[in-house]
Amino acid sequence: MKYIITRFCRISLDLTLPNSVRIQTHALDEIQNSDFFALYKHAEIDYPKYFKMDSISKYGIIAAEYLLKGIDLKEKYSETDMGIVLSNASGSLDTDAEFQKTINNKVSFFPSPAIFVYTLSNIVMGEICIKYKIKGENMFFLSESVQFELLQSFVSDLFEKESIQTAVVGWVEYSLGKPDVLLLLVEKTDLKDTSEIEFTSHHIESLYLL
Amino acid sequence: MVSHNMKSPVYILSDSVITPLGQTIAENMDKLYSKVSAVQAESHEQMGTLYRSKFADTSTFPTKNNSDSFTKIERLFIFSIEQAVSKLSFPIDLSQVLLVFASTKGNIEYLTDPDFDHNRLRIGFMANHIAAYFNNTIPSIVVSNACISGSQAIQYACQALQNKKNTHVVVTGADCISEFVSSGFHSFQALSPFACTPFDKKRAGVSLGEGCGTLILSTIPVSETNIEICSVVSSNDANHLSGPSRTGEGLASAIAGAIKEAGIQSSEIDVISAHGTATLYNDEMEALAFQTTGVSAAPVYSVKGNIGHTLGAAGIIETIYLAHSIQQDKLIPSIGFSESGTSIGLNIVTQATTKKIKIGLKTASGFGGGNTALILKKQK
Repeated sequence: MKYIITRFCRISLDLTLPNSVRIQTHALDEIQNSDFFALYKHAEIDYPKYFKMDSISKYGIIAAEYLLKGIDLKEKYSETDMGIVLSNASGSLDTDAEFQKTINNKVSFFPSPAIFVYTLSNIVMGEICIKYKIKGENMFFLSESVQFELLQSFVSDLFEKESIQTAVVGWVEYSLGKPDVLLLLVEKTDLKDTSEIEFTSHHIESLYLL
Repeated sequence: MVSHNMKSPVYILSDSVITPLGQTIAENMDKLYSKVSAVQAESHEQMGTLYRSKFADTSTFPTKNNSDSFTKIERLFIFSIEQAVSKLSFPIDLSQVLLVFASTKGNIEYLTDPDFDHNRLRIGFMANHIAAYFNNTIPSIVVSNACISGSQAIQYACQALQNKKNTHVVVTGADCISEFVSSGFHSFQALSPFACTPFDKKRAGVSLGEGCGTLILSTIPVSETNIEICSVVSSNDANHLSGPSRTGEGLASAIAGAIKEAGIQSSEIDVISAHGTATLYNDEMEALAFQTTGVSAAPVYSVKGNIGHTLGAAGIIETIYLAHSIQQDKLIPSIGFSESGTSIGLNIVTQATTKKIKIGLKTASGFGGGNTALILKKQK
């Protein structure tokens, strides 16, 4: 039995054009306007809740949509067999600063519950779980840069223990207007297909550096 | 099918809890058994009276080396790690051991401080900064999954030990009370207008708390009294970001998974340390999950009335309390409970009671939909 990366989605800042991001997946490689409405339209999502989300959650949902578009995970797996292991560097600091603005002024002190709910590192993961009904093991790590080996070993162990049958794994970082996202879909296989991307820390790193 | 019994058990070799109740385990346990609460009223100009368990401003966390340049939460981590190490019967080199951190908000109270090194607002950076105090350059692991962070840091540590990558792992979790977090819970109208009363009919919300807990774990026990961590399993409600599932299905799935992985029957669970935040929805959700998984007859308690909700530290602090309660064969009472307030009747512990305890369950749930169940067992 081995674990393979069956799909991926990489979103990073594009430096060739202003206000643009590069989106690379198993199926496409394109430059798109980073405006959140344009991203939503391009991804062909129908999920109005997206517009209530903070920036990092929006990028998480866009990436997850590209990752999982056209497949029905629920047909292959039970909801509790689907796991998710994500990580980033900045947690929710971008949104933390937004929330802080609502309590800075002691005269008009109106902490916003709508913003506060996004001031935790793992909320982007919660949003992805809600949209795709991922109900199994869920973990969120913080590290200064992507810990490829950590992601590989922690997720492989969950597979080994048969706690999960599939997992969304990756890095969802957003800071100072810059998205830096890599999502992978990891599944098990018995087949010896040499074209498959085995789930190794080296392959995670290669996809991140794509 | 991989046999779950093939993995090595993980044991608690040493621990430390630093809360406003006390800075030693003995002090914490004595006060839990005698129903002492550290939750006190404090007045806030904009939010009114807040009930919380907070260290006195005069509290010092006397670390071995100079830690003046460290923040309150960083000193708490260092002090607690040093306490846990000093209780070990053998020396352990803190520069060479894997450190696993849990925190939800780290140094967030410095968000608006222009003189503060803002890199340390990133919890991964903060962890490295703390590791540097110990001259530890091994990449630290940081778990930040809301209120299940502490339990999941233990989950990660158990995996790392079972992989034989490490012989010992230090797991530590802390969060401090800040205006940031208090005002957020206040805006949700989730804060109790009195010291919180888990599972009680008149419960009206959570009380926040601060503190730090540290565990030193190994697959090699040093004493037959070392408590074993049998399993830690997580799940996600995939339902709502800030409210628990109405059915308890997510937590039930984690509890069922933990029971299976521990290789025990639900009827063998002698005591449950609940998350018990005292919000209407959390406590009801937990009661439903206990019913679904067949553990609702077991004695249940929550320590939130004693130390408040310590967020990312809760899973670690409360696991340590449970481990000592199992070792001492004594049930911890749940304070603030007088009348059943859940649709499923629970066996809430109201007085410290001597009872043979072999197996205990610790549950936790958090914003973002996460749940965890953790099972502890006495060796014999």
